[in-house]
Amino acid sequence: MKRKESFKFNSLLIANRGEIAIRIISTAKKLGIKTFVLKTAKEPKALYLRYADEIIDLSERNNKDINEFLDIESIIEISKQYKIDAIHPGYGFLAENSLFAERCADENICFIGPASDVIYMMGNKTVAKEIAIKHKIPVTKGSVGAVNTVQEAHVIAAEIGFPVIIKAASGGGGRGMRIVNNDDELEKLFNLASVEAGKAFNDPSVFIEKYISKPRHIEFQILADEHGNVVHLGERDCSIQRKHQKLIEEAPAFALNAALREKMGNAAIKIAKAVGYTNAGTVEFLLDEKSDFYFMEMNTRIQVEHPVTEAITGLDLIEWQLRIASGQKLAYTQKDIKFSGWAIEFRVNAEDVEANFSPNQGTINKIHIPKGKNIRIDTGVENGSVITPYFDSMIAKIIITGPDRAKTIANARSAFNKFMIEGIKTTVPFFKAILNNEKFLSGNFDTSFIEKDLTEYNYREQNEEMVAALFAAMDFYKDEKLENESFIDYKKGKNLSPWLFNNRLKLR
Amino acid sequence: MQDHFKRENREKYSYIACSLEDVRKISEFMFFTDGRVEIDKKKANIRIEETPKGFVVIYIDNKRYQVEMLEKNQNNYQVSVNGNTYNYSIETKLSYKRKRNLSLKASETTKHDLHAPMPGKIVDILAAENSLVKKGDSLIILEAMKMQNEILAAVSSKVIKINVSVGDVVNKGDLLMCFE
Repeated sequence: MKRKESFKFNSLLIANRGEIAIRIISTAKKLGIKTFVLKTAKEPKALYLRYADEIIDLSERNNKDINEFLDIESIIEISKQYKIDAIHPGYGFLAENSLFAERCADENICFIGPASDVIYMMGNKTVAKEIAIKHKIPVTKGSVGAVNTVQEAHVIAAEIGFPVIIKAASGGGGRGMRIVNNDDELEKLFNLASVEAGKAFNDPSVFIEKYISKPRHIEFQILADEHGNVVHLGERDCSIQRKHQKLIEEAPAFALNAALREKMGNAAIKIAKAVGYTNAGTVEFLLDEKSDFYFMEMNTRIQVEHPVTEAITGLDLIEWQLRIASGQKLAYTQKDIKFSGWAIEFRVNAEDVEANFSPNQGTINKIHIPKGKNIRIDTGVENGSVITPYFDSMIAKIIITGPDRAKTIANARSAFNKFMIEGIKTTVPFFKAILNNEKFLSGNFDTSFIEKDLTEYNYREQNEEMVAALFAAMDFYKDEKLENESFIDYKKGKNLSPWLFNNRLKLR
Repeated sequence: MQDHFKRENREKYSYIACSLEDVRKISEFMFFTDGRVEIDKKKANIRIEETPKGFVVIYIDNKRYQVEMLEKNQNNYQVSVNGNTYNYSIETKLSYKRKRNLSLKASETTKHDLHAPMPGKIVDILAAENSLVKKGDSLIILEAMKMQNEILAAVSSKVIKINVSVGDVVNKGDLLMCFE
């Protein structure tokens, strides 16, 4: 039996769904903390519901226009009603909402994350950048504060030089972001970014900065306790992105050596200390061809890709989030943090890659993800799960480990060859294409990889077309045969043999 | 040829065990645009299995392909192999010829209509009816999963009809605009 430790809280509401809810519950269980989740009418049979100790049923509200996971007052109300003393927001939804963190504090509920004012500071990219400049952390040249008009944008862009990137001041996840190559495009793209920012974040303000070409997205995981101790847990390379959405993340980063890791890690720690950061956080940098790095932003939440860091450090990040929130001291100093092996995470999304990655809704009739000692699966779905339009399209994270990068890639290939799914289309054929791309294998890629280096988006086995034709032919033959057997005289003249296959006659 | 097939499972589809010889016979009638029938040159064995979990798998020698019937409409098939989608129609020699002639004719007169590439909401329309557009011009801004997507003109043409208005929610494949 595990020794029961004392936490500031005994019950934890997970204000989230899907795989991350299950992930948080598994650690909470290990620590003896009672877990609560919210059941919504949008996915009343979701897998995560089965893992929690208690389900709070909101499905009778049945208002599909309201997102239960974003409804601050209702979540606070529920927590009081059920005497819940801590809330883990997961990622997305209210995870980086400073108002929510503040409301939790008001009601004496422990918010698993940094303090409200820290979320606010780091959530505003302009403010975050000013803090970095003040502490001599390199940043990219750009506008000081928000850019309000197209006229202003023209002046600033000319000053820093094209290409520039327009970003939502309160943004994230690639929304409200546009790369502008020349002055002619500026007006149109400025307006697009601003409208998108307004819709997505309720704040149309944008800022402009120099666009660094061939950048790698390198981020550092940090842990900071409430006693002033901060450590970094190494980096993740998240350069494999499409439209600024991460698809594959790995740790460690191929582009970093020990010296650069130390330099960037120290910069990350400096930023965290500068704002009095507590709990788990991620400091994002761009790393250019010359190994110069620039601070981009800080994410004040647990991230989707945290498992790769767990794989190479052996730490349970959710556990440390809970411990830190409970006032415990970090049990490690920087020199205790050791890295071993390699890990790559693949986000399996329900998307039709052949149709421009459009979301593929439907029911997962069957899913089979191979198990093994090199494979970690974080998923919120099972056979029969329904992919709804209400939430994001990620169905599973497959984290592959190995002693080095080459072996990890080989393990990943073998895992994806055994992956099977029926009912929806996923990004798995796309991952197989990446795992067979020379540039990816070499490790020398940047954030433009998918756009520029990946020529074929779907990996096709030899003879795949032939197998498809064969399967269709057999099915047709079977139907014909059944028809002939059961209706002896009926349609006797309709004998379609010999067969001809008209390959992909359906124009796409 | 029917004698060469042995039906193994009558449930959802019938899965048929067949030998290389059977495949060769089928292949004789197959038409591939790229002419690939490599399978015939190699001594490959074909097996079809239903896994314990209910997936349908075709083995060519020891290479495994997961197959799924996505859609079936008379003689039109949409099949998934290892997660990739393939469309086939199975035709008689005669119907194939007719179909090919029809599709050749159709492509000569095809109008470049614009269909929604993904489901979403129309947030802006940047072209007007009867206006001329250049290839690459922005025509419509479609919001999908909270991303604003620019839909560009594939060809330089004249807009003759706009079928949607701002605020409309469209499904994938819905007709958005007609061109001359």
